[in-house]
Amino acid sequence: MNLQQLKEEINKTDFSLEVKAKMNEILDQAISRGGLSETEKKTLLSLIDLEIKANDIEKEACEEAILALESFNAEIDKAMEMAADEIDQAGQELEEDIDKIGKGDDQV
Amino acid sequence: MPEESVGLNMESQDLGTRVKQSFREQLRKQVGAAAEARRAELAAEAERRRQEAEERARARREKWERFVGRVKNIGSFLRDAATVPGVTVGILAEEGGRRIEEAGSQVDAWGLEMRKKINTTLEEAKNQGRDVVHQVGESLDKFGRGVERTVNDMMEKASRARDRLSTRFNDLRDQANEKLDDMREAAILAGLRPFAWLGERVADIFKLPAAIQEWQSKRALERAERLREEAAAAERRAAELEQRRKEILAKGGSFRQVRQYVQTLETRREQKAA
Repeated sequence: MNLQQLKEEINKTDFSLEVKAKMNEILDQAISRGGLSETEKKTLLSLIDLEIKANDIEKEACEEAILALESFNAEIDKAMEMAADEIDQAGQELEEDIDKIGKGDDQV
Repeated sequence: MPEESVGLNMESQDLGTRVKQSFREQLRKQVGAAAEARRAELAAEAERRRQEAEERARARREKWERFVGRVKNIGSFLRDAATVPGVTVGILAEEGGRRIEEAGSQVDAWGLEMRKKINTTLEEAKNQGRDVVHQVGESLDKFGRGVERTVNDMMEKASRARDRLSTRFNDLRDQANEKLDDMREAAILAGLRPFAWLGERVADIFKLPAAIQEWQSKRALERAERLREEAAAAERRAAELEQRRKEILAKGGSFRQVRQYVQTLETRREQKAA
């Protein structure tokens, strides 16, 4: 793989545009000179590290956000189930009240 | 090509080849093995989570629809119960009652059964010379208030849950930004300026609570509008019934005739709903 092929490979990845732009800039200079300096090599590797770290932070943020949303959904589900049970209970009490009224009980 | 230039080029190529080989190995190791594998893993995980979330959202939507249907039926039942002659269901005159009532256009089996039970109870009590209209009205009011309280409690809980979600998201955003800030030095050393793009990577994730709030506000506005329309229709209907009752009584009609008229209206409405 020569530097041009390496550049093409990097451009196929879904790295951030900013990171890709910087890598392209370094590789373009290296290609025009016909070689990659030690500093450039280190910079390219640190850019890759940076991209991987940013990916990790993004992934972690996504996971935490999903957990928070799941917890929100669970709370809504629970509230809804409780409300449905309470409405059932209120309906039963109404039936009992009407039955008592029908029987002529004073206490309703 | 001059000899010197060829030599320099060869040396450069040799150095370039060694560097490239070393770089390629490291790149393969880091990008190929770590990043690519992580991306594939993330994509598979994201897809699995998306499917799970879709399934849960569908179940939640069905649950919500069943719940709303239930409340609507109760609202409908209360409205019908209010047409029982002499029974005043006070809750219907209040905003809360209108909220419960929503736009229910059908009465479920339980509601129909209860209405029959109430009519029978009133009829039997009347035959026994007892006046239980007030008691029936009070029981219906109690039921209506209970449902209203339950619905309000649920809305309150949902609202609190949303606030907690919002707080949690703000905390998460701050944490993520702190971590990204820690990378600032490395980014600057690698020649990346300005730095804002890193923060933007996570910013979208945290826009969700605001989107939820906006959606809920929109729904609340729509619901309020529907309730206003329903309330106006209910008022018109009550005035019409009162006028008709007065007319029948003024013409010397009996209580039974008023009741028959109300029942005719109910039958028509049921047929229309069916």
